[in-house]
Amino acid sequence: MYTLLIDPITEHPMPKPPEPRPQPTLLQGTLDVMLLSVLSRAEAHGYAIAREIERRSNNVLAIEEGSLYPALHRLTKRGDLTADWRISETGRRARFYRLTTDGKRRLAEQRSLWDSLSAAVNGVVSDDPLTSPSASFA
Amino acid sequence: MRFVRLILGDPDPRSQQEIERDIDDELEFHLERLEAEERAAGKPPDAARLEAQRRFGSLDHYRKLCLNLNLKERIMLQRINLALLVLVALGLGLTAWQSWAAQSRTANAVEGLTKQLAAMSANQATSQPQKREPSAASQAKGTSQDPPSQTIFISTWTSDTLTRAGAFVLPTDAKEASLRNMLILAGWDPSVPIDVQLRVRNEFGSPATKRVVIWKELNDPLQPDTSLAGYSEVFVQRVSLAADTTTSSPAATQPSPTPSASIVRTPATPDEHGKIADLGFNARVLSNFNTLRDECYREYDRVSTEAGLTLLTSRTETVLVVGAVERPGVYLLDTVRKSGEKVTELDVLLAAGASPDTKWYVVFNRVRPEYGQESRNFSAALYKRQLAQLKSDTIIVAFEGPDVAPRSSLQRLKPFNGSFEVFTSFTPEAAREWDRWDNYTDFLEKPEKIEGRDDLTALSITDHNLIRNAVDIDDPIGNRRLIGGLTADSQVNAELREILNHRQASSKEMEHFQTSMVKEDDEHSVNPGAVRTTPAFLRVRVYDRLAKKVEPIVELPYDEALKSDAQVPDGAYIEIKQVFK
Repeated sequence: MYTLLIDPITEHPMPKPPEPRPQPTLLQGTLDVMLLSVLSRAEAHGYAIAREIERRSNNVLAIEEGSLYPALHRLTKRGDLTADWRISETGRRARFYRLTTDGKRRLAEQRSLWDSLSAAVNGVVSDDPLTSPSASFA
Repeated sequence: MRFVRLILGDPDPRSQQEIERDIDDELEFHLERLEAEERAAGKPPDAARLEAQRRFGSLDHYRKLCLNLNLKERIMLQRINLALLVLVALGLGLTAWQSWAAQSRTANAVEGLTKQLAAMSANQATSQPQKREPSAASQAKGTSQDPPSQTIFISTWTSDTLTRAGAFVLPTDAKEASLRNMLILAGWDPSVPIDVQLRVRNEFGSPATKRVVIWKELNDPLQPDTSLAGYSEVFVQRVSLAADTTTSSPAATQPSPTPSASIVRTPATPDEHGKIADLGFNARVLSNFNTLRDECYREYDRVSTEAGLTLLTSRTETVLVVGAVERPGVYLLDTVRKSGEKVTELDVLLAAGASPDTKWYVVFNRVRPEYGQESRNFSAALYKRQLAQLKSDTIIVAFEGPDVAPRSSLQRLKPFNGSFEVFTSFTPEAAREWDRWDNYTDFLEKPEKIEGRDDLTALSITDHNLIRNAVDIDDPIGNRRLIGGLTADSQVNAELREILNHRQASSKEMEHFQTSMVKEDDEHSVNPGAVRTTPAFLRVRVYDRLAKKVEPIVELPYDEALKSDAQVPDGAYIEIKQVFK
């Protein structure tokens, strides 16, 4: 006996594995401040947050999107975010996050820290002899 | 703030199952949106899914992280609560003891005073010792619950020591509901000493009182005559030969029930009603898992072949439902409703017409052993929390249970309104023959490797599973479905062209197949309802399934295959596939 299968499911040649996108290394904690910042504009679900991060970074930052969720849950547990379930634009239920008062305060703190840190790093990395005073290393 | 929240209580009112469900929904929503995005960009469904998974990362890993985050405080809170409870109990105990001690001292003092008064009396010098009356309500009441009237015994474990897999019902008379009799029912030879690990459940409480359910794992070796009366469910987890076979076996030292011991040598055959009458006790076979599954899928194959083409999308699943349902059989249904809600195991049970006697069910999955097997309660109270999404190739066995749940609660369950199709109606009559059950945990421990397929492990050696995985060459998720099956022909070693030309007798069917029309009715796609008409190329592959090779032994374009005299061996599997360049 034999078995005959007619399978209407379409098939394409095996796709080539996509080229890996260059991934800049993120400092620890930057994901949190990015999430808080995105949500400071409007409430959103995880997928929309990921898209917004991509857009704002001009597609330079493409994080592994699943990593958003432990961060979102952690921030919610901490009280910086609050979340509820709603029907999304596709008709499916999705969890929407928004900033709390505590979250806004924390965002302001983190932004200030980030500004200080990035300025300090910039100061070291972009040392221009024309603009910065010469110094000896002695 | 966190410490205060811990003291005051976990503000998250959700149960663990609800938390798990929410996490699953949230992550899967994101995945689906990614997949839709990739499909909108022009990728075919398979590539879109792969890319979505790559962009998302490991679903299991992030799921676990989220779960740990959400349950961490709850676990800590439970520990704190337990500690507080112990402290309170100790405090109460201490208070009670102090009170008793004080009362005792008082009583002694009174007694002493009485004696002194009596002694002081001139005429009545005899002291009358105080009779101690037995306390009025000193006997503890028995448990308020009515013990279950019958015990469900399930054994999905077969080995040389237990030769049958199935579900059985036994009365809870203390003598008959013994471990010995249950194991004999499962094919145990009492002369062979074994160690048994069971999971038992004791469900008590009348409908008017709060129901308490206790799961208890009995890890120590049990004596065969251990009474299991009072337990509503017994589930055999593991059986092994007793470590020390030189000591006298329980079977040798205990008197064995006379009729049973002699019958076990030749496993008793159930009658047409599934009853095994000559074992010395009344038992009823509810189902033989292995045979039912095989017979159902065989019937499914036959019916689907006769039905011709069936357009299946990756959003349909097949489920076998047997047991205490009105319409047992193989079900083919969508996994997502029009509303976007997921179809659940309970939906399938309702579609199959779960009877008022259905109390709980076992779900297991043979193709995906990692899904394991679980039993769940089927009741209105737990309905909302146990919306476990249907998984592929699931087998659901519904059981009758002890009459502890109000039947009216089952009537309040909303009926399943999703679309489904019963491919075959199957009446679970008693198994006609007993098959050995290849224990699925063996696959986990000793995964079977297939040459050239490092991504596939734990494959079953049954034909259906091999075929299914053979088809999934380009789809590691394994979401394709076997829709054809055994044909009416039983030619052996026929030529390919003969087989195909015979098959081509239905020219309308092939004409339709060659002009592919794939309807996009997935509401999550960009253009729901769109119909794509694309000329398809057909490719023929022949698999020698008995040799368990994944690569086809013949692969030709359809036109060439129609003229090919390539031999098709017995038991082969022929696939005609649409291919788009």
